Amino acid sequence: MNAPERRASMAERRPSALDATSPFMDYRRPSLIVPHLAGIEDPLPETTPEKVDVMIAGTGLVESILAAALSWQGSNVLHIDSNSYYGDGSATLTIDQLKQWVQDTNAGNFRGYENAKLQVSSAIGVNSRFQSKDFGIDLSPRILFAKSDLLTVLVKSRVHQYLEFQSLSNFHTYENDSFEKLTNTKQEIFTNPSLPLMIKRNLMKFIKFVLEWENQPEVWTDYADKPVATFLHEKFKLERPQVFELIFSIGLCYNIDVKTPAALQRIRRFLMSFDVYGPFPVLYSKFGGPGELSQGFCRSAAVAGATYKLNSKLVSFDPTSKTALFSDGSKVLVTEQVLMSPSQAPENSQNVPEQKYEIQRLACVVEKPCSEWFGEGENAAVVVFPPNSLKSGNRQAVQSLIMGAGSEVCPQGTALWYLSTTEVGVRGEMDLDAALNALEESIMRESSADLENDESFIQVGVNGHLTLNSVKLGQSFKEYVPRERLNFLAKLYFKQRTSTPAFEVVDSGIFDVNTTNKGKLIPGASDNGVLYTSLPSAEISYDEAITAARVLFQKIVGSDDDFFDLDFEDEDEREDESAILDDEDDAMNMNLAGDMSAEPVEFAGEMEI
Amino acid sequence: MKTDELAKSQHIQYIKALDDKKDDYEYWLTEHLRLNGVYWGLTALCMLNAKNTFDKDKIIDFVRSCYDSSTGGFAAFPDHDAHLVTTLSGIQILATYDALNTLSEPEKLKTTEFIKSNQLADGSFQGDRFGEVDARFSYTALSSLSILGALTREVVDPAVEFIKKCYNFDGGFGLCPGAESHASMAFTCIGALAIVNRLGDLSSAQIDQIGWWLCERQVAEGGLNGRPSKLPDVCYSWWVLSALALIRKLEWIDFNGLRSFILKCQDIEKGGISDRPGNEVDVFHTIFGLAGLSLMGFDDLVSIDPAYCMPFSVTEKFKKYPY
Amino acid sequence: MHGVKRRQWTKELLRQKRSNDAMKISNYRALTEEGLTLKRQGVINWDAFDKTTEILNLNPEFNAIWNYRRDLIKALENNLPDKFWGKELSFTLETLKRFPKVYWIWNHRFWSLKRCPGAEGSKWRQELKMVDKILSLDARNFHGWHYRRTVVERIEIAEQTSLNQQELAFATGKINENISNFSAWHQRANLLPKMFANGQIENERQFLKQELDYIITAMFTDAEDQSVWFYINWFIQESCITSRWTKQEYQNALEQLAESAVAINEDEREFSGKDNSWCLKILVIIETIKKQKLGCVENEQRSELLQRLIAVDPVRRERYIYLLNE
Repeated sequence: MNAPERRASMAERRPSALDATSPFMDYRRPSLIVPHLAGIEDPLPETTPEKVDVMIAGTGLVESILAAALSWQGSNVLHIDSNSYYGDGSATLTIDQLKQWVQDTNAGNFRGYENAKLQVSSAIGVNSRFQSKDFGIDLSPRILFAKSDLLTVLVKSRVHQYLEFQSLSNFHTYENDSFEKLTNTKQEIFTNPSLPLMIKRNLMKFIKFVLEWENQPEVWTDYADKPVATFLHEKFKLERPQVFELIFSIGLCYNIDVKTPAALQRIRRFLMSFDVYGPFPVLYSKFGGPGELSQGFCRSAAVAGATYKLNSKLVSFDPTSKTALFSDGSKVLVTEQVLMSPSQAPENSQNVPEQKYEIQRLACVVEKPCSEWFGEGENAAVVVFPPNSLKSGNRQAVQSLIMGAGSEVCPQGTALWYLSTTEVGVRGEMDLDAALNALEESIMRESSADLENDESFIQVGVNGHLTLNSVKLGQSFKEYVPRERLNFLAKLYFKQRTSTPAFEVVDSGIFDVNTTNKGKLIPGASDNGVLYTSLPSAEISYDEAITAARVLFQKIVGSDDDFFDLDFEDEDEREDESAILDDEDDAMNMNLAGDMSAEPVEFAGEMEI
Repeated sequence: MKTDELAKSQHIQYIKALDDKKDDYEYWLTEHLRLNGVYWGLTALCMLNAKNTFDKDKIIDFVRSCYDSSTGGFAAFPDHDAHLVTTLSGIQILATYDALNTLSEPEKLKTTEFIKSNQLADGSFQGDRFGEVDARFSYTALSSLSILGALTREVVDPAVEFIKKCYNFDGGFGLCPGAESHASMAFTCIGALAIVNRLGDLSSAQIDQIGWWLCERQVAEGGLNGRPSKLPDVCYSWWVLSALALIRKLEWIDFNGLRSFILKCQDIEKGGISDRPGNEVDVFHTIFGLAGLSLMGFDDLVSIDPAYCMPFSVTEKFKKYPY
Repeated sequence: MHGVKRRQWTKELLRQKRSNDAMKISNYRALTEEGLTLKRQGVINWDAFDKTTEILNLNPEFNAIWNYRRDLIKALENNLPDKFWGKELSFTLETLKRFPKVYWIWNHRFWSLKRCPGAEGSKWRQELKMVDKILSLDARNFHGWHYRRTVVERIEIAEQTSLNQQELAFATGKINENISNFSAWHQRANLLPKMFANGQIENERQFLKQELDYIITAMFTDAEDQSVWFYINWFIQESCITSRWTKQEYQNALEQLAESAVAINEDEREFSGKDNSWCLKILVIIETIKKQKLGCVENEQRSELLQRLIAVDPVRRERYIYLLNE
């Protein structure tokens, strides 16, 4: 079988042996060891090991983090995937790979995925304007908060050195047929002339409060069981636009019923992430999202000794003899644990936990740069449609992530739109379509020539005195009917199930690990004794990944003390100073390990007197 | 050992062992601060009533070895270059040991000339021949000359004019005219004015404003910061408190809060005080933490002169300007 | 040490550090010994110059070596290789990136720029861009702001022009980014008197009105931030401002500020049950001005305000008691 044409892998973009004369060879950067991975650059291992401690099936993000954590902890890991690519449910795929994936999904090959529909324009294909491998479509796109467990682990494990990150600062809320950009920084609150003075005060008061909300129960305990909207309105006197912005864009919550503490936790996550690496809360990896990160962790696991094998499917596991049997007839003894993504479950498996939560996803390739939505120098944005903001009367929020060509997942002149909702069934698809229409109308309107000449946005004079703008982005063009329609190059709908709820709180308690029917073997089942991971949830951030991997790690090792307990002390103790952002030619790279931007160290003390 | 006590014996041990750290890279990297370090350590020991911990003769020999006979100033270490800041440290150490007479009269004269030669037309001082101007150097020059009994109107009057120009609208002082207020400059400017007996040049409204700005340096944790919206740091216990003491408004800050912040910065096992709780200790923060406690009258420390940052028992012997 | 976390040195960690340090120490000592010997012997050549680079890379605080480096440059000045100054400036830039708060590096950079050939104006204008960059990384870098004023002065002298307008815009930008940036408010309070004196404020009345709106907006945005309050205190007492108001305008401005302070304080009391100390402090000042300069105080609240301050800000109670007894 010919594997579909694939995108350049991480190792090809960042080879292990960098040419010393290359401009990318930064003397401050500890030398990169990017090992090749079996199946992509290297031939598959001819034989699998006879005996391993842990066997993991599926190279999704959680499984890959786990594989790296276990390998560095000292476990002997065999990590396989039934696909010809890395990433499983977290994969980043080309259009051709996507076509194959849709066929496989609809044939029932991936448990948890169903009802996939793909339309591809003839503009993509051999001898066409665009090639299949120009695109890297994420099956579960994600954004990374600058202050998060995952980023800590990425740095500690040095997996971040395999990756390139870009910043994302624009979050838009869709309301009344138009987009509002967030007012969430001190700067925006101060300089936005349309905010009444008392609202400025109350917003700032709330932002200060929420950063320390747990230590101030006297402020919120009366509202602990009430919707956060009531709390914001009554206690902080905030009005609807701010309330919606806080809940749906900053908090990225799914519906209006979210309870106060849960929402506060999510709002704080965003605000705490601000100014960690710069004036933005969120990052994403270039060249693809979780698929790219999965590869990074697999690579790290391989450095620590894990064996990798693609195109390899588990047929059955016998917990008594501890033998795993593979589709190619090979066998391996697994002394500790078999772990598996539900999507890779073998035939006759009967222990897969119920996947009771539904996510509807829509990914589109549009022929439009969409830079109107991006912050200066940026290539991506988040657009949120709060409940009841769409023509479909949506009950749940629709979240969307827009990625431009600069993020290296699509060619110049195009952009990727990812939409998702937790709304179920037909309503879910209707909501996605309504959101898609709203996005389409908006981008046509905002990129129209009429508006390009319009300079009447907020004016800030040199004295800092603010003059009110005459129109807001999009608003004055509410009635504007675009002359042309947007050209969609590809559209992919699918439904995904998971056992992880679309949680309201970033809390490890949510990850109730699926346990096997211990001691109660189901006769004839091919997966007795197998521990199942969870498929990606509806959460748009990566926040679940580390928690999930840590809980699984603890389950296998007995404690999480050694979870990435790594200390890569360089022999020459070079400062671990590496740019997380892709700005190598920038005169001043941002510090990841040191935090120049956080609280600069006061100097005066060094004065000698 | 309770954390609400000053770990005196540990601090003495810590300072005593400072010169035994030759296995640490940091020891060598800080050679350019060695003479200052000796002054900080010795003064801290004085406050702890443990002046004899250092070997006086060895220290005096070391100070002498830092004397640069070509300029008349002191360098931080033999073969380094003389600078106003290290010159003050050398003089302070000798004065503390009542050993200024180990400098011959011609040597002293040369030192005086070195200091005076760095005064510029506008009354300011440069640190050395390369021209960096900073109110710190005004302080070090005036303090050194005062200890040597060599102040003159020709030096003092223009120097005072320059210092007064460093005063800002908020009640703080900047490192030069126009520079933002910084708490360390409150000490250098007010300390310098006090040494030359010119605090009277400040109006009572200015004194009130200075006191206000300084007492607003105290943050909720009890510690003092150096500028608005900055984190507290033990060294400001000296910069802020000495200035408040000199304008007689010491009580405008909360003593107990500051003391407990300083004590939290101690390494109660190995001794020494750091800038903030949990950070690595150093002799710089050790002396300024102790000096802050001494000014507030805590922990039976030997009292320290807020103008000179030396024990009163030493400074009371200095000839007071105008002579 | 500033900002360095205290570590628990286990025996093993200490052993590792010692063996690491031993290498570094012997290397560093040999290097400095060589450097200082060359310096003592007065050697003037490019090998000695390279030696200073090597030492300063390891320890940019070694002022004696910076001095030697400058002496070498001066002695070799007639025979400098191509692009020497460009390299020298990148050297200081690289070093500043690693140690943005070391005085000696800033000094050397300034010394180099003064000395290097090139049109004064463009040289310093280029340097201003570097300062922009430094201040974009740390908007309160003390050295950065001080250096900025020095560089601006150089440009103004070289081009016989005033950059006040541009510098006010720069300070405003920094304030807008973060109103707690007192360095920028300080700059603003420095510039305005000069600009008024030079007639660089076009419509003075309108400016003052807008400035009042600006600071009231700042009060509402963050009433706990002392930067804004210190600036307000300056604004309502600085003669270049107050002399441009009629008595009535002055009184109205004070009224407007007082009303805002009262409104903010009421909101705070409703929210937390406590006074906002800065609102009370400014109300005391406003009342004093009205009494002393305008003679228009109806019912004096001073002692009540100060009593409330003692309750809400006990750390500074002695100051309030002092003010009560004034």
